[in-house]
Amino acid sequence: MTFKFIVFIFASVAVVFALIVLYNYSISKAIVEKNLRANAENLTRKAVAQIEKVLIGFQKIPDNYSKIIESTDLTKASMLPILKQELISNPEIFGAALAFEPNVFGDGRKYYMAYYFRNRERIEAKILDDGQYEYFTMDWYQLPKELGRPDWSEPYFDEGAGNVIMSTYSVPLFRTVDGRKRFAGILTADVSLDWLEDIVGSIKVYETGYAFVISGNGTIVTHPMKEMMMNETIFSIAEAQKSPQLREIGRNMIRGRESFAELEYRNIKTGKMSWIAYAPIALNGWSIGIVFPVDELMADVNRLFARIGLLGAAGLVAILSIVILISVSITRPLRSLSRVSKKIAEGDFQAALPEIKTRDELKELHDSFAYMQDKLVEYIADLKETTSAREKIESELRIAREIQMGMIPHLFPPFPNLSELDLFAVLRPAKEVGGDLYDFFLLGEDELCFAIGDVSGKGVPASLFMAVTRTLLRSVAQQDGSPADFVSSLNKSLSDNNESCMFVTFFVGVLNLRTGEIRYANAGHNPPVLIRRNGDVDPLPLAPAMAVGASEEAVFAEASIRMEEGDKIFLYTDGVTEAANGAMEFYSVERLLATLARRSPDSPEILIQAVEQDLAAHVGGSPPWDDITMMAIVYYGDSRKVPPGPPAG
Amino acid sequence: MVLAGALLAAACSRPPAVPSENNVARPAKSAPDASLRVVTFLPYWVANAQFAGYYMAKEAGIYEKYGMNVEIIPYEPFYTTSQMMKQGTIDFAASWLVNAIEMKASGVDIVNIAQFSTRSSLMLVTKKSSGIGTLQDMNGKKAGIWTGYELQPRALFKKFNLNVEIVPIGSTNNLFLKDGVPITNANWFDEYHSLINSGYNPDELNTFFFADYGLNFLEDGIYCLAEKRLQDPGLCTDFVNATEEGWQMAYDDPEKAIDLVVEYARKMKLPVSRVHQRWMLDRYRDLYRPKGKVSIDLAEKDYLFAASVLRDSGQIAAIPPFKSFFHPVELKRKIYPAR
Repeated sequence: MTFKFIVFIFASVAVVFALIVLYNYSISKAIVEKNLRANAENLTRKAVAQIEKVLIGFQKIPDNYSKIIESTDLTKASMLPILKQELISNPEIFGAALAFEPNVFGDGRKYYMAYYFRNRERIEAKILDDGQYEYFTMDWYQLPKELGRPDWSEPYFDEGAGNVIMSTYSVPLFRTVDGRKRFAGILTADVSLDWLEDIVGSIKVYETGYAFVISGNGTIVTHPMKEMMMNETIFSIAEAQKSPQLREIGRNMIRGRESFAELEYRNIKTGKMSWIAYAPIALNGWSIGIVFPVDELMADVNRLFARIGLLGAAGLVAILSIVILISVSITRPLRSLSRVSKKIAEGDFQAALPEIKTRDELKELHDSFAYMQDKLVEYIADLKETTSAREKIESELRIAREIQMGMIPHLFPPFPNLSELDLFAVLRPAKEVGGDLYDFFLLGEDELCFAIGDVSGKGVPASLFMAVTRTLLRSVAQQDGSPADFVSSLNKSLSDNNESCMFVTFFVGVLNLRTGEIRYANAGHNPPVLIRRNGDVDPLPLAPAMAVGASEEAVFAEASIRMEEGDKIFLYTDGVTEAANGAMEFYSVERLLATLARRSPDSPEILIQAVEQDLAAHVGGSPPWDDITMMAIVYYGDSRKVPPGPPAG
Repeated sequence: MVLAGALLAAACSRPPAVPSENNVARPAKSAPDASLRVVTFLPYWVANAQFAGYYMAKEAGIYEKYGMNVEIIPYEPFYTTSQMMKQGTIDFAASWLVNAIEMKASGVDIVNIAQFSTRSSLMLVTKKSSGIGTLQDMNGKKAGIWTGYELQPRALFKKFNLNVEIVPIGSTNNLFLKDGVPITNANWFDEYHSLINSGYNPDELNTFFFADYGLNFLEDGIYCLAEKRLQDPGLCTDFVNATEEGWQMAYDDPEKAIDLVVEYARKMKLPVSRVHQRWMLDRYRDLYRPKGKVSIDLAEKDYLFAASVLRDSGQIAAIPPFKSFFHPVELKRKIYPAR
């Protein structure tokens, strides 16, 4: 997140900077160009004026002399001295010639040309009249003749003049014949173009700028690259450099157009982009071009641009640093907090939160975290306390269970020396401690007292009541009395201090070992099942009675039955018959009876295990709702008598 | 003196060296071997790519390879080929067909030993702005034609019944450029390009090629006196073959050829422009090696056409017989493999 944030800010600022800088540059360049245009125009016009001044100076000479010659009678005698004088009086003229149409002198000669020229210090003359020099088709003769006006020639090299570039100014001569003006011949003046080279060469344009002149045909007349001069036209250079721009510039120049630093092109001297200004030299149809190198003109602007660029870059770096610093100052505590959270989650509740010195959202976050941390510590302390309290109770409950289980007889077989009976019982409390009870003990040598009971409720309260009940039973049974008496005594005692209104369903029986007779009393308990030796299974007939502890005035009846040898009696609490499976279906008395009937021949232990198994099968995985208690006793008959058959088991 | 030397060389002439392929290195500039036959050759104009083949053949040592020491005479405008040929000052000359026929008809017994040109390069040019777009438009106008070159334009105007005033001009086209005349003549390989490089775009000019109007006046051919052709056929054959090889080398390495042309031009203190010379060499290749084929044949009908124009314009009295005019040598290379 930080990285994206930083990059985004950096990029935005960079773009803004760049736009500002570029705008500044383009405005600056426009300003430079505007100034340049004004300067370029001045410079160019000045140069043109200078050149034309010199040209006019030259032109005047033959112009004037032509007038003089025309005014003569056009004889050789009169004209030649004038021609010579032209040369003598004008040192800048290198050579002068007079050339005539055929038969101008009336002597039938086709050719007549006189040429005066300087040869070192002297002036020499040449007369060409024998046809060896055919001048009629020479440009210097023909052009002014055909065009009817004076003409400056294309530049040329003259060996005789010391390899100087020259140009010839030709003036047509006319004479009046029969009242009409007739072309008679040409007067020329050859001038060197040194001065042109000087003027143009002295035009300084910064470091690498320069000026050049082209003729009316585009021939390079003067140029800083000397090898261009005379050999190339601006068009052939454009062709060689594959520059259509340069060709266009050339075309504009020879057509006499002017332009001041509006066009950019690659100049042929340095190949650098340059502005060009050009204007015609009207007098001879030539044109001057001045080249302004862009980079030099823009040097200051470019330097400024570079400096601003650097400043901008430095600024960006500074901004970048600040942005990084700020974002780190935010993310560092965040990351710290995140680390500490992990530590707390792993259990180190005392882990120190990072310090936040600022008073802002981060501080708020920090304070929330600190609050959460404190609350966590508290909560965990509470939890520990509660847990340890609960553990304490659980351990006490376990001890209570042991005590409770210790209360009911749990050694089997209980009377190994007695062959009259066999007995087995189980008690499974639903919780650690339960409200069910069973008990059995001998009364004298001949009687076994057995009881089963179910305290209302479950858990510790029921178990305490059960303990009381069991203790009371043992104590009342020691006194003489019938089972009904026992139950009554129990009832009176339990009802007495029964502030919690608990009660216990109870069944107590006394079995005479000699006779097999069982006298029994019931207090609202499930009727035990008598399993005869022959397999008959019947619940004992019981009169309805109240549970013990419910009412002090309750009366309990007594009944008796006789057990034959091999008969069994099966006692249970309603935790058995009311054990429910997932569909809330009870195990039911019917099923119990059916199981008992099925397993009737089994010994008490096996019998009870079978019922337990069947019960487990019925209940499935459901947790027990009520305590389960079962007791089974089998009577083998008086041992003093010989038993008829082997004991079942 | 030169003739005697040539005869001497002919007497003990060696068979021409087998021409090798185009990898003749430029030999060191040592003094030419005295055993080489000395030959003088006159071009018909100043140093230009028009003669690049000859320069190449000399500088690349091809002439030497063929056993000749060739001097290429730097042309001056006042030279006349017929004079120098008659006087024996030169052994071989290059010339246009019409000029050679004229020479022959005037009594100089020259023969054409190789006809290089197959198509006329002559053209008339007008500015589109002048409104002269067809031959008919030329009627009643002035045409600037170089002195000595009136034959072909006259023939054209006569053929198409045009009344055109011929204004003789010198060697430049400045009269045309300065609008002194609306029509001018030009060689395709030379002045036409100069017009372009004087600031006219091709789409601003109208061109009229003589060859397109049935006036195919052939141009460059190699000429020598009939006598020499008879007496020294070996020299003639060697010269033509070596020249052809020089030309091929020039076409194959145009930049090097231009270097030589520039050198020769500078020696003669002439203005020279590389791009112009390159144009010239390229057009020469187009005109003289159409389809890359090498031929030195002169068709009789082309000869008769040129000769009849000369006769009809009164420049010659009678047409010299073709057989007496055309005596080609054998070209070792008939067809050059297309590049």
